[in-house]
Amino acid sequence: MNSISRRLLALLLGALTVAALLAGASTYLKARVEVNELFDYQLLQMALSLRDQKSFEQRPTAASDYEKEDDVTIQVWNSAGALIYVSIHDAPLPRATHAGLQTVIFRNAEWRTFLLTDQGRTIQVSQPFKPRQEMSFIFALRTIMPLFFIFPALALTIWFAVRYTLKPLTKVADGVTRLSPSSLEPLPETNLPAEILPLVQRLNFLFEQLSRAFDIQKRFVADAAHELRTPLTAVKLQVRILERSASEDERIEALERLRLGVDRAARLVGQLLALARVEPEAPPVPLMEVSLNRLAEEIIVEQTRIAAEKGINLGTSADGPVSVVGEPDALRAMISNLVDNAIRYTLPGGTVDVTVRQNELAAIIDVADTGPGIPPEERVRVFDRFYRRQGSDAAGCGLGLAIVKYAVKRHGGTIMLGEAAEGKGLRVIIEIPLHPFNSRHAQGQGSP
Amino acid sequence: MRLLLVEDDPMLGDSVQCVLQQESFAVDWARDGEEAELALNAFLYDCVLLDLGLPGKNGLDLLHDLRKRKSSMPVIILTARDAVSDRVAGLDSGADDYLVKPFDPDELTARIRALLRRRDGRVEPLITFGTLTLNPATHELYCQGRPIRLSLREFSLISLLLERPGATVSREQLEERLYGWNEEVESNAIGVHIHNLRKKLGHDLIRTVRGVGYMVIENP
Repeated sequence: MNSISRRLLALLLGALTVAALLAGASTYLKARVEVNELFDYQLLQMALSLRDQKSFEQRPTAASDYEKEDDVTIQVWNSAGALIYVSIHDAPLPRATHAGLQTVIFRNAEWRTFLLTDQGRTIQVSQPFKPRQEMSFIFALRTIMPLFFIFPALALTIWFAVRYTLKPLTKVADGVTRLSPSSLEPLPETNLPAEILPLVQRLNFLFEQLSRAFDIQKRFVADAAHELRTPLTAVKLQVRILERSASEDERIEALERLRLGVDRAARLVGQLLALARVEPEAPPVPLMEVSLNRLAEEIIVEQTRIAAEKGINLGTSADGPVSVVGEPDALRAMISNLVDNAIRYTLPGGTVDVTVRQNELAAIIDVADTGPGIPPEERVRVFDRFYRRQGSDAAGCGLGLAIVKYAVKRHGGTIMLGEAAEGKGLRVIIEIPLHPFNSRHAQGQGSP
Repeated sequence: MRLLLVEDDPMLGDSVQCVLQQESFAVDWARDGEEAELALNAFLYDCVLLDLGLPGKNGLDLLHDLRKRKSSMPVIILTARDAVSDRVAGLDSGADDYLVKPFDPDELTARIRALLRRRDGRVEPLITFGTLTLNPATHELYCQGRPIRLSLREFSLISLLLERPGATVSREQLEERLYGWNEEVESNAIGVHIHNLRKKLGHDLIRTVRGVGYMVIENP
């Protein structure tokens, strides 16, 4: 089970157990040393008290208590070396090799002996190690016993402590559970422990970005639906006109009407998608080196037929190659919309000039036409999406300049509207920094 | 029946006008608020089709002003705004009906007919007069159950005359209600249509009131 509280509980209780065992072991070791000293001293005392006894015909009274309690064996040899007394007859220990304290092995057990020679008699007092070990063990046990008694209480306490500590985390989890894509309310950031606060702050930041992206998406869909209503209504009516056409001439006219209606709806869809791709919130696309003069030439070739049909002189001039690093689709949409607008609003017989050049810092795209121009008071609003100039008969969908604006913005460029030659017509000058994305990455698009 | 279409979108305006003309309506098309205001002051239309998002003068303001002048001209709002609040605002501003784009051409004409019916105080969708039965929805005229083929103009003309039987309608009134702004009217056009109608329906139905105009009366 992967649970923080269980893990913490297991770790803490495990550590506690190990600590208790270590404490027990160290007590045992320390106790053994002390018990040894104590028992050795006892042996010595006993031997000394036996030395003062004159005869060993009877059992030495002083020894009897020890014998019972601690398996003490007393042996006495006379000066001839004959064993004259042994307290336990079936267990005659070998005589120690030298006087004083000594550890000997007898019948596969360790014994502690004390040997004393006095007036020809040799007195040996012996005791197995077993009682000493038992006593040390009991000491150790007594040390750790209380720990084992409070173990369940401690476990319970730890459990509650862990639960209490993790409560802010549980609360955050509950808060996140209640969220849905449609309601991304920020989580409360008050009274949070320092460990969780960064997590919540980061989550809130992401939620904010996410809900903004959702809003933009929703707005886009609503706008698109709204804007598509008009051309679709026209198409519906045009189909009806076609159905009701009586003569061949009427039918041809009605078909032409229908074709225009469908073209318009298709163009609107294309422009909406182009707008969605260049909007500030749209994800960045891989950057490429784009030759602006070649791009302008391509676009002009595409639009030459339409210009020629309207009797407009469309041309380009470039002094040498001009390239920037940027998003190819956005740059294409930008130039294409400018040229398209210029052709759309210029009267037959007019001129549209596209110039691409560069200075030390920026590439410059300059589109001038001989159309009606845009009066200064409208030069800001024309960039709004779906803004259509009053009285303009050319049926645009009001997105062209919005697309241009966003595309320029994506490349960190500037855009300027002015008059073309002799104060007539419109001139659009766009400057794109030669290395636009140095600045974009510095702005840190897409990350906080 | 003469309608005023107020629509700023050139393509949509053209299509609506064309569809309604095919349905034998005379349609004047105003492309902005000011033009619409001039037209409304100049002529009494049978119905107004009003777009809301207009340059110049807003459609709702136009409607407010129209109703302030106590005009009871039927008004249908044609708009892309489909929120309930927009519909409510439109209807409460004095519109008689509200149609959301993209609408069906049949629905549009059906609603226009319904409004005209209500204006004339009729309950029946068919107009009957003596042995004549006229169906405005299908542009069919029956005489004693026998279908009679009429041109669109002839149909419009007999519909106008049957609107108020027994009342005299002048030639100018008929011209005004049969022809839109850009339609050429020849000086004797009404006379020609009346002549054709008489050939098809009998000479007694439409009486000429000399020096005034025409009226329909029931055969004695």
